Amino acid sequence: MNPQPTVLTGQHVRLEPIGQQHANDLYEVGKDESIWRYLPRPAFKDLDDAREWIESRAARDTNASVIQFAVIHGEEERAIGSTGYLDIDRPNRALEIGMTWYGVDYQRTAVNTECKYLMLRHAFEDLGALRVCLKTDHRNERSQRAIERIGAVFEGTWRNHRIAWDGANRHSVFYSIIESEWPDVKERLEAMLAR
Amino acid sequence: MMDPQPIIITGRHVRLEPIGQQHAESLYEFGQEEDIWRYLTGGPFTSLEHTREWVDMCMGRNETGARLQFSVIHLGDDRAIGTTGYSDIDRPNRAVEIGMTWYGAPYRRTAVNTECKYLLMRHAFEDHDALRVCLKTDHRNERSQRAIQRIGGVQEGVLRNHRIAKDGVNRHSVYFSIIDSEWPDVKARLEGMMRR
Repeated sequence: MNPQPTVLTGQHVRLEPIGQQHANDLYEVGKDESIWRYLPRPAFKDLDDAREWIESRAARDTNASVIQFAVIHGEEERAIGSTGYLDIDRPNRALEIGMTWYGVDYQRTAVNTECKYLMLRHAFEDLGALRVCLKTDHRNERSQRAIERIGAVFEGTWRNHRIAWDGANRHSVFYSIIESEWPDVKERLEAMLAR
Repeated sequence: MMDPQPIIITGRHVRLEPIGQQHAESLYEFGQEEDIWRYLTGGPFTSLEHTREWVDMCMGRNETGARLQFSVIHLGDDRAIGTTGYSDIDRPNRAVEIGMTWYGAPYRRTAVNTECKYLLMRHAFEDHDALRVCLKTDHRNERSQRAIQRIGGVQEGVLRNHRIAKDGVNRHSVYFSIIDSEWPDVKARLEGMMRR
């Protein structure tokens, strides 16, 4: 398993390796504070802040443990959020999908379902992943419902896993999909996207 | 600020010293046993040279600051009889994992493991204000799971297909933790176990 920055194209969205060409768009949608409540940093203060964040997420080399994407909305041709492969563990063929956020107008649309579909399909079918993990703040119930909706299995809650940027002791709720579950999850996601 | 450093931690039965080549001969003697390495990578040691290479690798990892591995020195016998340490140090989140733990056969099921855990947890919670100490183990390693529960570790969950074990098996990892608010009770329990 050796993920590299690549473009993943669906019907609604295209995922592109994140870069400074996305900075203006991402700043526009990413200055909303509500988006960042459970992410490891607050909302973008200004365009420079967005640029620095993009710089910090861009893959440095072919062995990078993070590959962050900009989510391009197909019709509007602009970046409306971001998601990534995190904690890429090549020898163990395991990775995490996370650092995911979308502009407020694109939440509760097909965008997230398709992003997960594209990233899971790439991980399991192209890269040979054995495990894809998703985790979320224990306070973020909307995210937990969203993860459960796509068919991920709850694995447990890691207590005091992080100190959140607001100072709270964050417990992390862990979910995963393993390779043997992918065909069922794929079918479920395709049905959700066909609706 | 949590920032554990390579120091010596001394108890009544054992002393923890940052792993070094001065421990290699003694570790070689105990680390040839296959049973020790069933769920760990690195051994069994096939020669003193092999042991020295493994110790070098451990020392290199200690230098990165993400890990801190100790040799366990048995005070009565005055020799290294195994290793343990902090296997994942997350300074900004004040969380550590205890791992890389193995002991020579004569020292298993003795006070050694209890005291090692006591010393590592006390150092983490009391000297470095840790919020979380976690321990994980292979899902097939039931002995280890019971040992962790015995000292008061709370089971949090099982990460499926977490690793590919060296025998090619998909390993699930069972996670346990102790958090800062639980430390006084766990400490009292460990002190009670060590008095027996």
